[in-house]
Amino acid sequence: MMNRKEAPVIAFFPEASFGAALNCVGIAQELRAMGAHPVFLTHGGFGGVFADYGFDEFAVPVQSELTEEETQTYWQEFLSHHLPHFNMHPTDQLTTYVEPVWNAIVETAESVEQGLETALERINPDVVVLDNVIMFPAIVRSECPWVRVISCAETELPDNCLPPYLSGLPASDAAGCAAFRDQYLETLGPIHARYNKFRQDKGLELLPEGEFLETSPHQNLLLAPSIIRHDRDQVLDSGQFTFLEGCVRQEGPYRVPQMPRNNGPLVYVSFGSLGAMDVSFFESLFDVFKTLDMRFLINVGAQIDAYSRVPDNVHLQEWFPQPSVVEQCDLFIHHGGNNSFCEALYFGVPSLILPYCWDGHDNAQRAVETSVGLRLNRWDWTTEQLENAINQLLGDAEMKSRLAANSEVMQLRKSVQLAAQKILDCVNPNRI
Amino acid sequence: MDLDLHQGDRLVEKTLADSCSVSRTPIRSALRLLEKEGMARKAAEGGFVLECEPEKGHSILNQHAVGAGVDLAGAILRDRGARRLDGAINVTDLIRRYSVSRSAAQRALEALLAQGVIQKAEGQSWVFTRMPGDRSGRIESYEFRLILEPQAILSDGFKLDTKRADLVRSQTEALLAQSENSFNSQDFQDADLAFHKLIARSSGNQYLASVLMAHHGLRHLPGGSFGMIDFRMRQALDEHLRILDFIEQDHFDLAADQMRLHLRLSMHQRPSVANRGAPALVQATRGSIR
Repeated sequence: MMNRKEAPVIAFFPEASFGAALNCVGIAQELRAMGAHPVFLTHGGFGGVFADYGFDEFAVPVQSELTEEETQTYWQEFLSHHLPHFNMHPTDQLTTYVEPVWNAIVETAESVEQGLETALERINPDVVVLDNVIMFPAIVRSECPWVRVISCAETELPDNCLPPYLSGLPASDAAGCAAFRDQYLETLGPIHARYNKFRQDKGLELLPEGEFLETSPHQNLLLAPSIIRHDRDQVLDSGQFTFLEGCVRQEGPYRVPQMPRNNGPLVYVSFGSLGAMDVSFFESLFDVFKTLDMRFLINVGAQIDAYSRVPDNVHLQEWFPQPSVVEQCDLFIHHGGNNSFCEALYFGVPSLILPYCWDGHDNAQRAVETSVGLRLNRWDWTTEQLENAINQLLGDAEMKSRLAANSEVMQLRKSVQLAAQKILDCVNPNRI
Repeated sequence: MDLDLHQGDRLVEKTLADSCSVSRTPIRSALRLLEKEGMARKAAEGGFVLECEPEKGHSILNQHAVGAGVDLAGAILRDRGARRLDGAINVTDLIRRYSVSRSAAQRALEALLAQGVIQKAEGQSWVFTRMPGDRSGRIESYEFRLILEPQAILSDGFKLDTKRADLVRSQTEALLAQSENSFNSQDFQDADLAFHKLIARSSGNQYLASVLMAHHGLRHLPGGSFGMIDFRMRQALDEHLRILDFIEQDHFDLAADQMRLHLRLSMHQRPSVANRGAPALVQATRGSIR
């Protein structure tokens, strides 16, 4: 253990989403165990999330903080506006969903810049760990070594051999990929120009079109496990890029509750906090689940009080210690969030992915290509398709055996320790 | 019960009687019943040993009770906690779902009414009231407790029930002695309730005690499945011990302050919904999204 006085301070700055936040928690837990002093820079509303895991938090003030009421209104409008978009093809989401979200991301980067600069001056970290999709100039300008965590699908780091980010396309569909790439660049053109102007004003180099975050000159950590990894045209320098085999945090144990109908395989269902807001979607799943001789654990998030007449083989909770649940289940139905996908692989559990946005599309496609799961489209799935997909995955002994072998590989890799060590390697021993 | 028992543990009559605030006679009867049901066995050195995990035992006993029409109210509560029932119920619904007689259904409704879990509505219906474990009721519950629990410690007649305090302390220390990420939220909730009931019982003010005990009783009902992180659970248990330390040193003001801090930290809720580029929302959006 390092002496507290000598303990390097590692400042994590995850984006305000649970996937990135909890991924960073896993690495920070390991850094703490190794004697470092991990702290978290937090976006508004995320305060307390990391303190609950025992980490110090520093709230990054923004230029115009929304009141609680304004935030409520924002989300009411966001959901009523975007829920229909979640049932669209990725190409159709470019203008309806991807563009406004990138716009919001750039606005966030602009609005936290001053506060982040102040926070970094105060913390004076030895390393900054950025798990985000955009660069905040204050990090580069702090002249502190920084590590980029690529906790989205591998497509987040572009390459000629990879399908475009957020497309959900197979790399083999060259024409489709080219068309999507063109439309992506055209749609995001004005936003990208605005972001590059912001970078320029802050003294940073401009980024190529479509890119909002450079690779770190110090270290880049990619979560993509080898079983789903792509072959790249440009091989990544192993000194600067480290592929992890997922990055699964530790949580407390979970006791599976008794249900009135308590027989059959255990299926865990989670669509992330955003997906959990779509109550009607979950109710349509219940109609299928209640006909099956299985047990379902469903993460319904903050909307739990909206449910009634839940089937006797279904158990709802607003939050689960997900790694501990996935470890015990036979099938994981999810939205293709990268943490969920990696956790399924880490524990050797097949995935049934119904993506609704962002890199969920890419992970769903990759799950099918690499035979670690199946995909259903949210816009046209039928009861029969869902039932068949569940039964197919539960009955696929070959896939189960392959996933079990892969799980062993992933767990032996001890990726959280590796990530923590790579971060510590960036600490400048001469820094005061 | 506020004990942390596991399969293979000795069932000590005196401890059980103290914990339940009853004499040893009903405890002996209960132990014989457990033996008959195969959930306890006589130990060679005398007394009884638990033969199953408490959850399994609970489940078996509950099934017997429902079958005998005895614990229908409990079954309704569990189903309500699991959102298997509508917000409003009536006798006909209960007869259909639980295959019980009309009089048994009626008795169960009266028992739930007495517990403050349901209220009479229009016609033949009964509606469930909001529970402290419901997401929508949780903040209000903490606000209520923030008013009363520190005050219970500052009450003139406050006298710590030392027997119970010793039990609570040993239960808490046993949990804290477990390795990181090894105890689950149910174990924590049992220890948490035991501690807060101890404070309520010790207040020396019958009105404060009764209103707090009633509220803790509602907190104990199924349905509050919000989950806590291992670190925060340990931190909360440490806070319990710190409060007991202050009380035992007659530093009641500090104990009350520590209780306020403890409740404020515990009432923190993780964001309801978050998305890149968007402000994280802590409270639920009003109404369901349909």
